[in-house]
Amino acid sequence: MAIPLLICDDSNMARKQVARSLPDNWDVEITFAKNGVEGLAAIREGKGEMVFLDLTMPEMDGYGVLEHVFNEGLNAMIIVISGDIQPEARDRVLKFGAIDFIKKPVSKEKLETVLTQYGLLET
Amino acid sequence: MSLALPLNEDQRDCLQEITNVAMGAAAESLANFTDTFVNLPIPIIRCVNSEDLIDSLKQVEGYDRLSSISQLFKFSGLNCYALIVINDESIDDLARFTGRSLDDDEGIKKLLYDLCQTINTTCFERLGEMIENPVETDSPIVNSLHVPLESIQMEAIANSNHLISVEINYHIENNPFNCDLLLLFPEDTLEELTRVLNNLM
Repeated sequence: MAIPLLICDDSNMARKQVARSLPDNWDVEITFAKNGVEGLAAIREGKGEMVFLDLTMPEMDGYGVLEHVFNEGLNAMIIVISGDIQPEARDRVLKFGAIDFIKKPVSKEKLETVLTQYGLLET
Repeated sequence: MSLALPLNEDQRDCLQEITNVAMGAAAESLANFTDTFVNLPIPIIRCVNSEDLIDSLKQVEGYDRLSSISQLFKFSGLNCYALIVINDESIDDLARFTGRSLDDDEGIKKLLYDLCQTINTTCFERLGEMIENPVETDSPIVNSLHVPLESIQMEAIANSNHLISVEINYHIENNPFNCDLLLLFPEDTLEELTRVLNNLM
């Protein structure tokens, strides 16, 4: 069954970049969100079992989404994809339960490495 | 007053995304330089008349004494400018973070040069990688020290009627420190800028 995948980023270009970088033949059903509020709503509806999340966004930023997901115990595996590459930013998102952090700009290779590392490409 | 942006929504989005990534990398350098955590806002993109540019810097409004340092950079071979504007209180914070004593204006200028190198070097390195065309720079120039907003001079942009300004306000967490970084694209770069952006999409 297709995995519900959420791509949450305020930039249309960044959302497309992530979608283009997904592994071939990965069975996912993609939902897009352009800010944290939309993203969180999608996760609550079960559309984000797997989430690629930006940090710097209007309405609610990525940290806000992580905090809500953590506090509400929502079912979402979150990988942060951000241009904010401070080690402290990485530490913070991991503390809030994100499974990994990918530096922008994203690429097919970077995504595949991380997904393989967590066994997320196995059927 | 802002003018209508001469970019379509996709081009604006693309410019915002690449500057967000470049300025985000620069935030890490600033964080290392100051040993702090830097809060990173979304870049603000506007088109402004060059004579209104300084007055329109909302982020630095309310400070009596500001200093600025500018640097020419070649975006796809064309002259563009980076401008950093910082208030006196934040210069003092910066000196404290970096363990320096500011005895005179020479010491302040040195600190501004180092701040400019810290932020701009990383920003342009990353920008060049993304557009696959290295960004070269001239030496930075201190434009003004301890002056009110309306007295900041920047002759280099006076030749351009209007320009596209990408503004980011760096804040340090739990500290009043803040400084503005602006990337300024004069009107004669618009055609090349939109070509580069279209290629990236």
